[in-house]
Amino acid sequence: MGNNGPMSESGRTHRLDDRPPTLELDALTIEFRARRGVARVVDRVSLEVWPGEIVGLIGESGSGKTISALSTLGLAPRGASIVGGDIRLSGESLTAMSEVELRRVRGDRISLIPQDAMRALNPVLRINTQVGEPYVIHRGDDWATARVRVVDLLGSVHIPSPAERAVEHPHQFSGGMQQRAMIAMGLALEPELLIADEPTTALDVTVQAQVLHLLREIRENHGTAMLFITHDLGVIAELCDWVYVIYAGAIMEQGSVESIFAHPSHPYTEALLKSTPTVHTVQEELVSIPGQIPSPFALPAGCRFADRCGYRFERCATEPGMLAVASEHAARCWLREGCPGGGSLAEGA
Amino acid sequence: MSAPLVEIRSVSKNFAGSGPFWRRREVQAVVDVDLEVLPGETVGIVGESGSGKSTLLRIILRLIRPTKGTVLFEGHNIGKLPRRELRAVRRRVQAVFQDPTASFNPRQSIGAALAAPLEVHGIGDRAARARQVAETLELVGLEAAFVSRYPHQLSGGQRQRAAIARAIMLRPSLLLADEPTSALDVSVQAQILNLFKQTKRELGLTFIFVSHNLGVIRYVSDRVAVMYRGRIVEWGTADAVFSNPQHEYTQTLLAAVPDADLGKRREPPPPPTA
Repeated sequence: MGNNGPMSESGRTHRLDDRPPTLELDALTIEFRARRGVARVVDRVSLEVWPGEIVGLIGESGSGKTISALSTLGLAPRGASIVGGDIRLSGESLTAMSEVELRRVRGDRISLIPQDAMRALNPVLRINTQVGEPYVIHRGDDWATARVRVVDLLGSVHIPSPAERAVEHPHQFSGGMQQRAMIAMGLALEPELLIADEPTTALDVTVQAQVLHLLREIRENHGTAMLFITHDLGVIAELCDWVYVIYAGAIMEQGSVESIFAHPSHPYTEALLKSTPTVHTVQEELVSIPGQIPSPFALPAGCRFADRCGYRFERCATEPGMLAVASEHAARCWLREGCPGGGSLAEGA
Repeated sequence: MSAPLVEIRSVSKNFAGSGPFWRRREVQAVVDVDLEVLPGETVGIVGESGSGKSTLLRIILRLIRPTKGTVLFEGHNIGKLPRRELRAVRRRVQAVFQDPTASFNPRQSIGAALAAPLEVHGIGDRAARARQVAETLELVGLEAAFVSRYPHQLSGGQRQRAAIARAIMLRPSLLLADEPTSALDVSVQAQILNLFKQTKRELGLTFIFVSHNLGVIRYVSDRVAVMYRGRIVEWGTADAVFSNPQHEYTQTLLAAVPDADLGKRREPPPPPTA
């Protein structure tokens, strides 16, 4: 651990050029107003996805991972409002854009791969009509041209006999093929950023492995940056370069996949790893995390994991900042204070 | 060796297919399955969607009847039992399902839901039933105050605890679980899996545990059956099946599981392209 100074703003050592991050959430804060009060579901979340990088955002239900991603597309549900921070796509602020401008970004520069492809596809339209729509809407192609391009696109996501399959309806596709069709649609205009929201959760493991392989292939061939949202640590280990661990609306730990899995440095990440049943090793006892995630209506003043944390001590009554653990790794935990190679990591604005 | 608690003998189940009648073909959900479950052990049944694992479980529960074959519970053919005796078997065989929200009546308090199995089987008076409800709640790690709560006031993990409590109210000898943790977050899943192991120890239960999650199956099971297209393609101790899989399908399945163990990462990620 040679690097004793504060981390570079991104902490990524493998940045190869001086392009801005493809996606940057800068202290993003999102609140819901309800009769019970104000729920802060995303709390000063800062996150970067660099060109060509696959970044994992891992959290349990209610952690704010999906809403962070949907806000990037300007698709946050009704009642949610961005009360602080900014979202930038290759340096350009998305929060400042009008709905009309955003509509040009969605599907063209950013695509979303949803969890449930069956529900995302329109059951009464043929696959080529749906997958080809971006060409017509964003590029002004006519439908005949778009349908020809769809066949190539379906071939590139390894759908067998793409010409015949293109004219079928979604229910004629298996779950894995539906997800491939969604990925094809997302790739149509070669977006800068692909946001994948639990795209393999509904799939069988063997199909999941194929889809993950496809996503890796896309990154290799097109250099597409991806934000991959999941609750599955295994998928993160398999696919991602960099990970953010989100809990109760805040990033608790961030770092390279290698570093985080080798040395989980936030008690929450450690507990997640120890509570996941694995296939390739024998576990005597799974460690379960006692209690529950705090309500976003009443977040604790100090560390939001403290109530469930086995290492809790006095300092946890105040909220820790992101503390560097290593050159490519930081955790929001007082235990990391004065870590060798550590020190305070300046948080994004 | 003790006599098996459950014996499944060449059981098959066909379902009517869909489509117009000239193209309609029967779907073979379970094909010629043999399985033996010894008292006190946990048998895990693992497979992907459509492998027939849930159908097999429903046959054991006698929620559906097999097209062919027999299921023996303590040596009795449950397909042939007269009503009264079937009722006695039902008392000793209980189940926990995937979605605890769907398996509770939203208008019934947890206390009433837990007392229901006792009432149905005419066990104890009101006071005795209340005692047993309290005892069982404690066993699954829920406070006594949950008696008066309603399902919507519980978190997913608490609801699944309540479902387990209801399943063990009658102190069954066999508990079947169909994907009981699939809807839960991992940290909660670990709580529930540990609870299963603990209740099994404390009550001497026999378990049949169905899941698509290989890690979960490895963690809870003594012996494992791997199902593929309606058949059991591999059967053995959990250790043998997971560390030395013999069938090609089991090998494929295990290789496909992404593991939070970086040593198992099949290929290093390529450097980001500029």
